[in-house]
Amino acid sequence: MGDMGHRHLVLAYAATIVIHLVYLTFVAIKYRAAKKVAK
Amino acid sequence: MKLWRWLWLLATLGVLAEGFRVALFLVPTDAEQGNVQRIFYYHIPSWAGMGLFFAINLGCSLVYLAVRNRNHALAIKADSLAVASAEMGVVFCFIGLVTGSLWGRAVWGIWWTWDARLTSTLVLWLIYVAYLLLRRFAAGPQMRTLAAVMAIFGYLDVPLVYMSTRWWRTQHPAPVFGGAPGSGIDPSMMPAVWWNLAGWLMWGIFVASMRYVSEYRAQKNEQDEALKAL
Repeated sequence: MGDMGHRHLVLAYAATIVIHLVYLTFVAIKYRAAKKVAK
Repeated sequence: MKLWRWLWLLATLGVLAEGFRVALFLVPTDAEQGNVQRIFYYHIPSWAGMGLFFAINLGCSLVYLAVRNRNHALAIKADSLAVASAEMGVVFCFIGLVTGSLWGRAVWGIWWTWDARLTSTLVLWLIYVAYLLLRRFAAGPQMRTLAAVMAIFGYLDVPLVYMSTRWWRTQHPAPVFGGAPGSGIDPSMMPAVWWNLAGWLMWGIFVASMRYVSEYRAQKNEQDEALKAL
């Protein structure tokens, strides 16, 4: 595998983790907001 | 956050870390594609996650439609889970498209092609994004019913996506699992598939369960406010 393949492998793994973390942040904000309302 | 959720998150992170290690450092390198084939170990769990969460969304939408006039408590639960699972499915689908595109650029030399698999998957993603937009911007008591009906029609694209590489000739490779005789990957590569499949599905369940809680609380609060107003 050339340099491009290496770069794409790293990008694919990084993109997966980053997208999941971005969505987790959105969910955590919603979770905290709902908890506040419940109180 | 409840204790069981912390324990689940801890177990999930452990499985994901092991999956990462096995995928990158333990399983052998593919003879044809080299290291870029390791994208497969993150690509496949995304599709499995998408399939699981869109199926949950379908089930919840059917339950919602069946009980919405008889059992309001169950209807709220079903609808909240439908939202949580649709969002999680959209996230997994998006990751599948992104990792697939990166992999395609490395092995086919192109980011995208309008073959049956890729196009039907993009359409599927757009259908569920439209479902979420409908829920976000439509108002009125019929919104949830409309969304549930849309989810049922939207799910019709899932078997089409799954079968597309069997029914049509595509740039996308033939099915690796459940395909023609002789398909599949070398057994020595399977641990990376299992660890990552387990890890990402556990992650999806964790995040979707948190999203379910917030959506349920919001809907319950909305209902309580409406009852108070009466």
